[in-house]
Amino acid sequence: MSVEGALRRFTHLIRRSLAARLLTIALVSITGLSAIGLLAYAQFNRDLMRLLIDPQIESVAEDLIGNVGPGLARGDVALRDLPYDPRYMRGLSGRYFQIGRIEADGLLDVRYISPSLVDVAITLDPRAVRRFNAPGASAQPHFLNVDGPDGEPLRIVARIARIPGLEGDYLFVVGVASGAVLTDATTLLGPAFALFLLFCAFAIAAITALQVRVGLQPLHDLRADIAGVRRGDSERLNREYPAELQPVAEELNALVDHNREVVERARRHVGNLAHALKTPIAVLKNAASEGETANPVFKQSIEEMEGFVERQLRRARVAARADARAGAIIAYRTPVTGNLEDLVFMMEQKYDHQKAIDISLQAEADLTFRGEREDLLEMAANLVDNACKYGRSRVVVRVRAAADAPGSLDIIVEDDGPGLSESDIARAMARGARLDEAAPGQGLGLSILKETVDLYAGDLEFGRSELGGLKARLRLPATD
Amino acid sequence: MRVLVVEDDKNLREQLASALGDAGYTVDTADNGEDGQFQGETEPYDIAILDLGLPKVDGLTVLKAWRKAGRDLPVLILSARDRWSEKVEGLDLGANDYVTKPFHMAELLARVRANIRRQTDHKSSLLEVGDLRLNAATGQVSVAGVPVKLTAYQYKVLDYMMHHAGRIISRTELTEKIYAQDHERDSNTIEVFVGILRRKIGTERIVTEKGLGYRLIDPAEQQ
Repeated sequence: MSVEGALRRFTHLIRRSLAARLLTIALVSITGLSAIGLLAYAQFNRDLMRLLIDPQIESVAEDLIGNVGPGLARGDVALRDLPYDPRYMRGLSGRYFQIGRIEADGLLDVRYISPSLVDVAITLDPRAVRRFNAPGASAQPHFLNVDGPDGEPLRIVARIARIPGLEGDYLFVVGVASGAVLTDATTLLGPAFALFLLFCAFAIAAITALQVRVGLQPLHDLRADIAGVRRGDSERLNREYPAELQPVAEELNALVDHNREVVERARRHVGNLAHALKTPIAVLKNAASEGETANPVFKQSIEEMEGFVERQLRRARVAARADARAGAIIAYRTPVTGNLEDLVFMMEQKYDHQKAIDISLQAEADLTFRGEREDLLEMAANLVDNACKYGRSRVVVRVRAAADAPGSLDIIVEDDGPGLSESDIARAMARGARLDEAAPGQGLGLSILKETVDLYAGDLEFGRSELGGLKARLRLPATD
Repeated sequence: MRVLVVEDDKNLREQLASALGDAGYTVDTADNGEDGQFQGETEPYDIAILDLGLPKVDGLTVLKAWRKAGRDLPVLILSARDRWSEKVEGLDLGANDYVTKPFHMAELLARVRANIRRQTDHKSSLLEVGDLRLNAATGQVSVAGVPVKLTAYQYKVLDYMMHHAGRIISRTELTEKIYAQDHERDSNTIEVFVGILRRKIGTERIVTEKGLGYRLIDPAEQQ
């Protein structure tokens, strides 16, 4: 279970993580490749041995075969000439030869050993000897690796030949100590090889991890940037990405733009509708109040129509906004102070010719509303407009970070008008108050405001101001 | 006084033209943005009434083009779009006022009057009291080089006070100078305007002389 479980977790990880994928591919492939490389290296050693040593010892063996004859004693073997190389004379020099008669079962009866072997013949596996002696194989030289005196590795050639004047087959063996010259492949495949592979694995893992980290950094950047757009910290993805990611970033930007466009189009539609409906009403209204055509019935009907159109347009606007918001993937970011400054000036202008009202704005700098400018202005304008309408001479607008709700900002609008009674406030805030009940001019027209506040999961509270009038507190989400 | 009316609705355009004509203005009209822009750029109008939803070129683009061409005539925007953001945008582009459709003709005429008066009151003068500056030609006010946005009435109060800088101006005097006869104003109106002005140009610039009135000073000189 544990192996299976580990395997499952591993495949899960690979499926989930690009880094794990890259790391795994790198480790498996490079470990495999280095193993193949080492095997190839061993093979190269063997080939080199064959190339360098084998012809030498074979020629020595042929010399021996050409030189050998019966010795003085019966069954003895003698050489007419010893090999020229003095190392065959010096004890344990690393150059050896021996001549032995092949007995039954592949056992050797050694008849001659080079002085360098001192007095210990090279032992050969009887099975190997039998194999050399097999029909068809006996005429060829056989090369192999054996243990020599003192256990040193030897490269030997074994040749089977008859000796004129003597009975039976003789095995001629010439050997060279190969240990000092070449490392045998078998030693490479031992613990050192494993250690080397392990080292490779670690080194490559480290390098790949670094590569993955550096290589995938743009992906992390992209993720952070997208999060920024979603939070509303930036409008689009503006960084230069690598060629592989640039198309993704461009697609995302297109999506963001499209989203904004959908929102804007919905707005514009309502705006065009307003234009189409209100211009003729303006014409009628002016015509109805002019001297000779002035007619109180016309005037009243037109005003009813005007109110109706106004309410329906507001309704359409809220619906458009809610629709747009439902499909919105991005957050907007709207600086509060500058926009409210503009708004306050707008209001001053609006009331300039009607009444003298002092609108003061006290704003904490650097507060940013997490939402659209349009909505911020509509919500704040609604409150400020009401305050100006009902206030006697003063309206105070304050903006500050919400002390008891981190990540929120408060827009507080106060006036010195008559204010609202507790029951009026309760009625104004009652749930289920429909948009159509809140006609402009009657009451505060709060429903549209409340719907927008709800879109932002904000909060709207009314109370009594120290100035004497109404105090409205609008709480909205802020960006960090 | 020449007025340019750019409005695509025929009936409304004619109503505006006749109402303005009755009020003594010389009225030219255009029924699309392209013609309106051209007329505004070539003829010396005292004010323009500009609809936003115009065929060919929309109103905000026309306004932008006029300002870019250096035309500083007062522009009163007339629009059915009552989104606050649009109004703010219009003012940012250099509109002087904004009237939402449907409107009362009397109100529109009052605003036209106020905007023209503000523009023409002192066509030639640049007033300076310390680093408080009022350019009557452009209607711009700045304190230490930083522009200050004033409404038409706020501007008039400041303009009068700057013309009589250093002198005590009584509330009655201010009320008489600022408002036309037909306006009923309660007594604290002037106080409110002075309060707003103080906040916009600096409290220390307008001194209250108890029981007498106000005095505009250069605070740097007083020290």
